[in-house]
Amino acid sequence: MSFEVMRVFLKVESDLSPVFFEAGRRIGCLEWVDCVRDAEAVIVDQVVDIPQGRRVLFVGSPAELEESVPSDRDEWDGHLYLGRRYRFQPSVSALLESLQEGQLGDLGILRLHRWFGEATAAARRRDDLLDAFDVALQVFGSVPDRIYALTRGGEGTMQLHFGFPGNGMAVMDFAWELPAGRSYESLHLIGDRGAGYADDHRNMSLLYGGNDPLALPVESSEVEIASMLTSFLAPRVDSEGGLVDGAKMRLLMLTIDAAYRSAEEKQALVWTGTAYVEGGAQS
Amino acid sequence: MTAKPVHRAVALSVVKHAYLPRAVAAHPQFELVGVADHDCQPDWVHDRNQAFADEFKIPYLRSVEQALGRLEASVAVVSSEAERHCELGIRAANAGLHVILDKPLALRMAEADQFVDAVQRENVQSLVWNRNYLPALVQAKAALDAGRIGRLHSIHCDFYFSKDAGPKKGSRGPGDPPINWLQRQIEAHADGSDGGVGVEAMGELQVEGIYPLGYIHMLTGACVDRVYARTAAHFHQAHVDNEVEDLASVTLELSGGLTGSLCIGRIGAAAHPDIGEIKLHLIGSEGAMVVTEARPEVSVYYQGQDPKEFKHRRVGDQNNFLLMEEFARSIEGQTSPVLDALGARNITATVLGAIESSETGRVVEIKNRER
Repeated sequence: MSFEVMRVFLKVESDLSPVFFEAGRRIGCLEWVDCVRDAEAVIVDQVVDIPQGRRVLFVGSPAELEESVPSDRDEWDGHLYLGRRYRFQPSVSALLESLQEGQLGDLGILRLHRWFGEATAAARRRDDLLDAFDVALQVFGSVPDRIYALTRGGEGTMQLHFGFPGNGMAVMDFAWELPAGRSYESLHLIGDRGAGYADDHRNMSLLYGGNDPLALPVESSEVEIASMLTSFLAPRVDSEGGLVDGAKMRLLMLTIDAAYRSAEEKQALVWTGTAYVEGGAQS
Repeated sequence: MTAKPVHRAVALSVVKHAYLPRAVAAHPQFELVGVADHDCQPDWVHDRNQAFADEFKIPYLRSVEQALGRLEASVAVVSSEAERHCELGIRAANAGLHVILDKPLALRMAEADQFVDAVQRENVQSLVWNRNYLPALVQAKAALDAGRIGRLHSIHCDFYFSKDAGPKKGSRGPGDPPINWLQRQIEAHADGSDGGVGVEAMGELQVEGIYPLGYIHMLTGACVDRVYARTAAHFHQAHVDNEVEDLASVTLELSGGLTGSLCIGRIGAAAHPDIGEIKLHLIGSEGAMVVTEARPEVSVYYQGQDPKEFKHRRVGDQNNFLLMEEFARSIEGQTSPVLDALGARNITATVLGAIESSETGRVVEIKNRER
């Protein structure tokens, strides 16, 4: 028996570089190379010139990528993919698998909370929205047909209310100005056959060192990145595997823009099939 | 030693949740002295009233007016079908009795307003049943009051009951009649899932919405000014047939610039190992807090355990006692109930506004009454 090994060049500026290398060693179907010319695939977190003919996984800021390489450009077609760790968190993946396998039945509601410590730049906030919207669009299989959004405190918090064709609904909230520290994630999916709950609240160890105990999240960074790499190195890469292709990126950007517009105009927007328009003027 | 007064209480209809008059009877400052209802009520109503009266060895009078006149009660406990809550509550208030009502307060704003008018005019105390004194809620309120997360910015509540409600959606065969709401609710009494009992069908927002909105009311002290909502009959055929929702999501805009949301549903017994996923997420200027309503709890597993038995049991729950303790002190003029007629009236306005929003697709302004 044998399996194909892909030669991959990694250029990641963040401190996640060692995690990528270790995750790659674990999955076994890639060989890290030191020179981009020797690579069949490239993983980067900054927008750089990539030699043509390579499969590219961009793991940096989606907002920066969209600004430099808009999703309607040819570079995206079967070539460039966006990879985001959120989608590959073991808890998120497990819920998506349950839904896909029919355990939850017809999905009724997605509920998501994402809170981040320390003030986050505006571009990063769009990236956080993209992560959540990516999951929402995937589980409901379309863009929302209704959007209502609220922001508060100079956009320090944002909450989204989506309606989907067939009465599906998603309610999401984000906080970006909490005191510096760990983020909090919670996602649940409720269908007509069952429900899945993924919540940091459940996945904490307790550390007792005096006064109130500290809650320590159990880490899973390496597993997330290994899953992302596995999707990227599959013979056929598509958005079903969790990576964002050009078509999906366009829908996500459209939805994010609509969410900010709804918040700014304080009214619900309705999807016409090509654009979001006013559909919920105040009664 | 100081003697505390004992208040005589009459139960006006016990067709729904007997936990309410039981909570009254269990508190040392209250004495249940009778049950009463209108003579014109159907047999199943009289049967339930009589059974409760027999259990407590108190009389059952088939006349509310006679009971209010003869039993010398100073407190009325109303646990009828929701559509009769206000009618019975108003009669009691007009007779000068303090009133404890089961939830929901009302199905229509006019009824809710008339009840508020009556208790204000007669200067009697009112309590609408709620869960605000569950231990986790008490702790959350204390943390907020102590400034542990700074100034509250947003509050989000999930309130899912993992209960079934009859046949699954899509189970109605060709030629089958639609499910009769009242009949199904009467049948559901055995397992306690008859919170929507009555002739008029009610969705989950109306049946249970006052609980999470009561939490938000207590924790924020704010009124809901605007709502945007989505609803669906997603799980149960009874809800489909009667055109009411069993799943809803609501965006809330509250006074003082607070924002929030509510997700609520009767999501089926398979969807959770216990009574349901009930959580609060609070975001403040200096921190945030995640609260599970069920805490504290213990886990108990054993051979031969009934699959329907909750394996995680809530412990330390004094909600019913604390509500009654506070009501006794309210009657004595020392405090006010955590959720009175006016608070519940404004919650009713939020619920009805959410239903309107889901029907129109529009953001709806809520008309609150000032205290």
